[in-house]
Amino acid sequence: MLASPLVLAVGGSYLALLFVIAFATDRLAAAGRGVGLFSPVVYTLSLAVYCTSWTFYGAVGTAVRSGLEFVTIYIGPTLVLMAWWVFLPKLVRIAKAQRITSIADFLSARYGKSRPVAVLVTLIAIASITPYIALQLLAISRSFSALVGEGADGADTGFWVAVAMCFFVCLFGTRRLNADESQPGIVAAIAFESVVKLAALLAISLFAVLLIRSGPAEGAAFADWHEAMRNVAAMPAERSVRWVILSTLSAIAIVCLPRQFQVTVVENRDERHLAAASWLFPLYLFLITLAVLPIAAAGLTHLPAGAEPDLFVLTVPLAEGVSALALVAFIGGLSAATSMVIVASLALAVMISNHLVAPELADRPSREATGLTAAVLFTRRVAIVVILTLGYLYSRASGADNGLASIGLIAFAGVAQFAPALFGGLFWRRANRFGATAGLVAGAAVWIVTLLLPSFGAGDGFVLVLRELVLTERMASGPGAVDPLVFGVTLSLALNTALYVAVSLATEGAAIDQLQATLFVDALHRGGPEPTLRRSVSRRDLYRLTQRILGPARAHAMFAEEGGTTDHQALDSAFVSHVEREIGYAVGAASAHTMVTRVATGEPLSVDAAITLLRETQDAIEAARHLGVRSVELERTAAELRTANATLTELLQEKDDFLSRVSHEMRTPLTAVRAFAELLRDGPADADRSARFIEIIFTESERLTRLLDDILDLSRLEAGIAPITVKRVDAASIVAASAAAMEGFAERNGVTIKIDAPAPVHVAADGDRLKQVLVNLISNAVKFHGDPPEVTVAVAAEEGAAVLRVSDHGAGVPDGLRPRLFTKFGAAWGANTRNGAGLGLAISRQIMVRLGGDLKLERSGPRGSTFTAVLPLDRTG
Amino acid sequence: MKREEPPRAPPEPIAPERTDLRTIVAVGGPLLFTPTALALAQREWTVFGVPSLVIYVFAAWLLGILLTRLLNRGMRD
Repeated sequence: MLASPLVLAVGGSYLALLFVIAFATDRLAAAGRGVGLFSPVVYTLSLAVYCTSWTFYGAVGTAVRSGLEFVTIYIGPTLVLMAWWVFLPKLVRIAKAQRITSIADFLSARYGKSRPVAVLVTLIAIASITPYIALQLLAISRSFSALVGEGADGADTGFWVAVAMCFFVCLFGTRRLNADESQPGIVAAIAFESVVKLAALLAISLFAVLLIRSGPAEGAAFADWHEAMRNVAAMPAERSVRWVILSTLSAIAIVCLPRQFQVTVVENRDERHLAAASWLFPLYLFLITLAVLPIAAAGLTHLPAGAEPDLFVLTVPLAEGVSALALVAFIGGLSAATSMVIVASLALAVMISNHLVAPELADRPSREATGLTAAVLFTRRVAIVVILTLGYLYSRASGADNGLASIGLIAFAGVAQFAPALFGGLFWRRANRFGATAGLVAGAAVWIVTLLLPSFGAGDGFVLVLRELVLTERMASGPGAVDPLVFGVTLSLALNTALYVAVSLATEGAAIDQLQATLFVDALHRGGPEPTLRRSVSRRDLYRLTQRILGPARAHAMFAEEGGTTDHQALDSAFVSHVEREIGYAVGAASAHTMVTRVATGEPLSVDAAITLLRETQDAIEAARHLGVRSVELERTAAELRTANATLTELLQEKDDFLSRVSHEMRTPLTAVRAFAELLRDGPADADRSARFIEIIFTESERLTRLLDDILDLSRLEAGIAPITVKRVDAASIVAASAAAMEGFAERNGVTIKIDAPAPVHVAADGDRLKQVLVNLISNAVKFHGDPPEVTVAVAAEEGAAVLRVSDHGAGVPDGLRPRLFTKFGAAWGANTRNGAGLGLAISRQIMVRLGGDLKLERSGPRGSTFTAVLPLDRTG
Repeated sequence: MKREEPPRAPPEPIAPERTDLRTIVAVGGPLLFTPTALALAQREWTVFGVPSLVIYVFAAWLLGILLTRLLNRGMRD
C-alpha cells in the first residue's frame, strides 16, 4: 500500500504537467513554431486516445475472464486501417471542405444539412459516451483505492480528476471558435498521454515477464504459468460469433466513436498522415495488446485466487512490493482515462453546443462584439461541466459489479448505429435524410432496449419478450442461448441498415440532399468549381447575419476579402456557401443552412436551377458513357440506309430496264405495222400480197395488245387490285384442263405432256388464275423442252400444301438469269423471245403470291428444270 | 481573395499492381482473423510455453502491419 498523500501528489503533478504541456504547445503554435507537432507520429499518438482505462486495466481483466477475446478490440481497428485508403482520405477531404466539426455535423451535412439527423446523432452519442466517461472516472477511483488501501475514498479522487479535466478541457478546448485553428494544446497533451500509457504498460509487462520466471506464489489461481497462459489464450468455439461481432464493433468504433472521429478526421492536418498512421497505429495497438499477456499470466500465478483481474496491472507490482512501479501503473491508468475524458467531453460539447443549443441561440439578437462566438463557447463550457457531472454521477450510481468491458462494449454498440449512415453516405448517392433518420431511430431504439437499459438493470422483461419474438426457442434461452451483446448488436444494426436502405430507396430527398450527396460521394474525383446552391443574398443581409453569429471583427474581415461595398449587391453563390460554412463551424451545418436560407431570396427557384444543373451534369456524364453505344447504333442505321439505297437503285435500274424493254418490245410490232401500212397506202399491190400484209399487221397488233394486256395485268397484280376470286377448286382437274389447253402447242413442238395427278387435291384458289399460271409454266417448259421431248405436270399434297410441279428436260435456266427470273422481263432476256415479252413468270409469281402461295425454281440443271407452285390446301371440305 | 486552402496537388498515382496488393491485404486481413482460421491455428504445440493460437494471432497481426507499411511507403512523402 502507498500513502494517500503521495499518490495524490504524484497524480496531481501529472495533471499539472498536462496543463503545462498544453499551455506551452498553444503558445508555441500561436508563435508559429512547433511544426513538429503536426507530424505523422503525433497524429498517430493522438489516435491512441482509443486506448482508454478500459484498455489499460480492462484488457487484462477480459483476458483473464474470457480468454483471447480481448484482442478483438484491437484487431478490428487494425483491419480497418489496412483498408484505410478506401474511405479515410475521402472522409478527411470532405470534412475539410465542409468545415465539419463532429460526426453529428458530418452526418447532418451529408443528409441535406438536416437538423433532425444532427440532433439524433448528438443524443445517441450522449447516451453512449456518458457511461463511457463514467467508466474512466470509476477506473481512476478504483485504482486509487487499490493503491492506498481500503478505507480511502476513491470516489473523491474521481471527483477531483473530473474537476481537473473540466478545467483542462474548458481552458484548452474552448478558447477559440475557428475552423482554421484546431486545438494544438489538447492534441499535444493527448499524444503525450499516449506515450505515458504505452510506456507504463510495457514497463509493467516487462516486470510481469521477470516475475513469471521466478515461479508461482502460494494460493494463486494457477501454479504453472503455462496453464495460466493457456487460460488466457482460450478461444471456445461457441464464442466464435461473439468474436466476429466484437471485431466488427471495434472496427466501426475506430471511426464512429465521437472522440475518434474528432482526432482522426477533424484534427487531421495533412492527408498524408493517414498513410503513416495506417501502420503506426496498429503497431501501437499491437504493443499494448502484447503487453497484456504477461500481466494476465503473472496475476494468475502470483496473486491470490479471486483477486480482481481488472486491477492486475496495479496489483501485480503492488503485491511484489514494487511501489514505484505501482505508481507508474497508476499514472498510466490516469493518462489513459484522462485522455479519453478530455477528447470525448470536448467532442460531445461541440455537438451539444452546435446542434442542440446554438440553433436556439441564433435567433436571439446579440449585442456582443464577437457575435454568438462567446455564447457558443460558453455553451460548450457548460456542456463540458454537465457531461462530466453526469459521468461522475453515473460512476457513483453504477456499482462496481460490472466488468469495465461491458460498459465500453455498450458504448461501442451505441455509436455503431452511425455506421450505416456514415459509410453508406460516402458511397451511395441515393441515400437520403429519411433513410438515415429511420435507420438511426430504429437502431438506437433497439440498442436502448436490448443493451443500454439492461445495463442499468431495467427492461429485462422486454428483452425477454423480444428474444422470444425474434429467436427460436433453443436460441432464446438455455445453455446454447445467443449472447445478449450479440443479440442486441445484430438486431439493432440489421434493423438500422434495412430501414436506411429501404426508406432511402422509397423516398426522394430535397434539392439540398442531392447536392450534398454529390459533394460527398464525388469528393475525391471532382474537378472544376464546387457546385453550390444558386442563391441570391443581399450583401447587407448576409453581413448582418455573419456579424450576429461571428461578431463584427470576423464579419468585416470576411467581407473585406470579398471586396466591393455596395450594400444591395447580390453575392455570388460560392461566397455565400463559404460564409455558410464559417457560420456552420460555430452553430453547426444544419442551423447555418437554415439561417442563410432565411436571408436568401428567391431560393426555391434557384434550388431548382441548381438541381437542373446537377442533373444536366449527371446527364452529360451519362451521355458520354452512352456515346460509344450510340455511335454503334448510328453505324448500324447507316448500314441499313446503304442497303436500302442499293435496293432502291436496283429497283430504279429495273424500272429503266423495264421501260426500255417495253419500248423495244412495242417498237418491233409497231415498226412492222407501220411499214406494211405504208406499203399498202403507197402503191397498188396484188390481192395476195395485200392479204399477206394485212395478216402481218393483224398479228403484230395482236401481239401488241397481248403485251399491253400483260403489262396491265402485272401492274394490277402488283398493286393488289387485280380481281381474284378464291374458291374451293380441285388442283388436279385444273392441271388436266391446262394440259389439254396446251396440247396443240405441245404437239406442234413435238412434245408430249405427261400428267401425274393421281388424286384430287383441293385448294382455295382462283381457278382461272391458277390455270393461267400452269399454262404459262407448261408453255415455257414446252419451249425449252430438251431431250426426251417430254413435259411432266404433277400435283400432290405435301406437308399441308398443294404442290404443283412442271418439269422439262431442257438445258436449264442460266446462272446469271436466276436472281431476276421472276422479275419483269427477267425470263425474256435469253435469246428466245419469240413468244411473249417475258412477263409470264413475273405475272405467275404475283398470282401465286396473291393466292397465298409461292412460285419457285426448284431445280435447274443440264438435265432439266422444275418449277414448283405451292398453294395452301383447302381443308373446309 | 483566399477562401479555401489552395488545392493540394493530387498524390502521385499508385502503380496498379500496388493497388491490387492493397486490395488483397484489405480483403485478406479479415480472413486471417475469422473464427475458422483461428480454429485451424489452435494446435498442441507451444513456443516457450506460449500457445500456438497466440503465436498465430500476433504473427498474422504483425504481418498485416508490415504489409500495410510496405504498400503505403511511397505515399508518405
